[in-house]
Amino acid sequence: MSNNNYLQVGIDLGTSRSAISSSTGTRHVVQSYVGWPVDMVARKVLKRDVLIGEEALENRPMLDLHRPLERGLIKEGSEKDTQAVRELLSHLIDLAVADAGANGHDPSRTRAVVGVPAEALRVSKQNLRQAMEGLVGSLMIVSEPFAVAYGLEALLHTMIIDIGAGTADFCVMNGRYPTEDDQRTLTNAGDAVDQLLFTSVRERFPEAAFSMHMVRAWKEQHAFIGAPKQPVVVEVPVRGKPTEIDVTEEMKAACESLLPPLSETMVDLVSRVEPEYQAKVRNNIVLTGGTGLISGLGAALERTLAEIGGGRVKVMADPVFVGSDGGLSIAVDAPESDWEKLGVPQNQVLGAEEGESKADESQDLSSQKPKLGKSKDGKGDS
Amino acid sequence: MANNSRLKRRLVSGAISENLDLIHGRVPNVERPRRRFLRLSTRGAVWAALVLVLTASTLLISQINRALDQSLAETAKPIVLETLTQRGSSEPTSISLTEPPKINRALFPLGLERVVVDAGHGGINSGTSAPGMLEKDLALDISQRLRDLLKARGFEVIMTRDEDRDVELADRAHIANTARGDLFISIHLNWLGREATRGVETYYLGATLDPIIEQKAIRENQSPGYSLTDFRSLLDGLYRDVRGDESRQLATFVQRSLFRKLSQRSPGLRDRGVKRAPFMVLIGTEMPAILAEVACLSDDDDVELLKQPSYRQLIAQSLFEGIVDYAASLTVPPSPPVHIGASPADGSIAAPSRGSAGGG
Ligand SMILES: Nc1ncnc2c1ncn2[C@@H]1O[C@H](COP(=O)(O)OP(=O)(O)OP(=O)(O)O)[C@@H](O)[C@H]1O
Ligand SMILES: [Mg+2]
Ligand SMILES: [Zn+2]
Repeated sequence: MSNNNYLQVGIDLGTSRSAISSSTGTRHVVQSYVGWPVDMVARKVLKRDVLIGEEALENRPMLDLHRPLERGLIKEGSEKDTQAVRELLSHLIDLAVADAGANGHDPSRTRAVVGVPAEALRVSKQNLRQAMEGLVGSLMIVSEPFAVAYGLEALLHTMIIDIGAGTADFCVMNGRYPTEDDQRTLTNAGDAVDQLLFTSVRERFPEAAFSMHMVRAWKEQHAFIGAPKQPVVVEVPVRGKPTEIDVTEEMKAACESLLPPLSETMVDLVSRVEPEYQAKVRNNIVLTGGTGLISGLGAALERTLAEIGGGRVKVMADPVFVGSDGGLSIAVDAPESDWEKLGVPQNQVLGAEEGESKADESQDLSSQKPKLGKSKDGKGDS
Repeated sequence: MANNSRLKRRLVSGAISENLDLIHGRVPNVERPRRRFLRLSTRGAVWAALVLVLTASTLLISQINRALDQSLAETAKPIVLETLTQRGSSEPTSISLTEPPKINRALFPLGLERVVVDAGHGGINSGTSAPGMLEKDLALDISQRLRDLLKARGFEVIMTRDEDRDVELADRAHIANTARGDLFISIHLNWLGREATRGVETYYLGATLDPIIEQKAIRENQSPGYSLTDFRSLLDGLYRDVRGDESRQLATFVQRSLFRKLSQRSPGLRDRGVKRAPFMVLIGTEMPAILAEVACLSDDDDVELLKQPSYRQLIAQSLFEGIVDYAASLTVPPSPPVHIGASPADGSIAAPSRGSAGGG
């Protein structure tokens, strides 16, 4: 169905990690960080205009560092973040293109499927289309949990729960392309756990010195719900001296804070399924995303399901590429003729803008396509 | 397996058409191009029929004016209605799967054709916010939903912005005026402070003595694009304007519809009423103009509701119905005032059996 002249990719643009899977069979993941050298010196040291991912994190002190995605979408109102998303996407696509061995690859011959949170506002999707101008030839935006469902072939009477850093995305698959009614997005996810853990540990150990990055690392190693398997002990400097502190209770409380909203949403979505299929859906729930790895989370959700007739939650042990693989499958399956209709403009020049007469374009604003590189036009800057 | 691939094909084509909707600025799941085409071709027939209705109703109206006889007005109703039901049966129902088809705007010959929808703020001007939510995004989302509802009902819609960018207030008015809009509705989200009870409120242009409203006006009047002199001379002309009355009526219809519909989904919502305020975006417009504060970002319950697309759709639907109610009221000759709070039965001629005047 697909044409081999085209490079097809699936992209999972995440708040904390972004992944790409390509039709040449390779996959990459980068931390969703973008940094620009703060000054001449930094630029000379780093020998680069922009750094992405792990590299950006490591050189943090020399960089103007951005984590440009919030809830999986371009943060609004910041030119820098929009640019950062573009850099991030561009970096991912370059990685895929390099794998394809296509030096001087023509971007217009790349077709991308990008996953976004289930309830992304339309304006956010429009922004994303704009950010992709000149990077790919055609673009399809799908809801992230739909991409996951598609990749896992969990297409009928299933529920996907994808809990990442910024959002928890729910999607019920009932044989049609999911509508707004079949999906939910909550902001109770990994970042929220980090926040809670950070503040509660700070409260109990005011003298301990630690950062959000450290807190996240503790969580990724020890996160749990229910009875602790062993105490959670971490090492932090207290007045300069490495000290062990026990944060078992804080860890438990922070992780369990996710349970009420997750359970409630899951049950609500099940209750909206046609009665004869509810049992099927309950028994076909897939839990994915990094935060889905919290030990005991799947079991806790199953306990909630037990109250409404029982069910099964399958936890994806290796969630990193689940979304991007799904996107790739969609890209490959989409008919040639449809891809042609999903083209994005190719002539974007980064940073180029000029004043324009708004009155003149006002007549057909309702049908107007987003203009290139000027969504925040310079006028009225303050 | 074959079954599975058919399912996959269906899902992928669903994803594609949602994307095409996005590219072409349509709302998904409402109508597909083929249907729209059909609608357009029937539009001609509608107009032909309308000429007849129009001739008849012009006659009727002149009679009404002469006699000011309410019973004559009653006799006018069946004529309009009959044409309506005929239309309703032959036209594919393209919108609002949840509610019965309503009156086509083509049947409001005296009223309103072109609606200007103004999504508040945009670009660097984000408006107010709640965690993860900016007023400008929500305003645009709701505006786009309203546009789609209006278009599906045959109104012409002009958007002052259809993407995330800052448009000066004067430019918004200019857009509305050059397009010769019949009505202007600006969509905003409120911020009332933690303690305040949340609610919906609708503004039309006018002076206010309320310091809180004045503060709000100051907040909303950013990026004006008017000089102070412009502003003064605009204000001078303004309060004498007959437009004021129409704007107040429009505001009343919209506010009533907003409160009636939203309070069902959002218990505890307060009807904060119709108010006057010197909002600049309303000043330069040459048509009835209102500003609706459709929800409140300082309120946790509202913020939760706003996360749900179905609630944003409900807001758009409420605004839409308020506009339709107002349009319906225009087909009545000027003298009978709007029956606020009256029962549907004695409401306006062209808005029968819709409960348009029900709540309040
Ligand atoms: N073993 C683990 N236990 C608990 N949390 C984890 C674990 N591994 C990763 N995480 C958390 O998962 C989150 C990242 O997951 P994922 O990569 O799915 O998110 P994302 O796709 O970047 O975010 P989003 O989908 O919200 O935009 C982070 O909050 C991270 O700290
Ligand atoms: Mg994710
Ligand atoms: Zn506002």
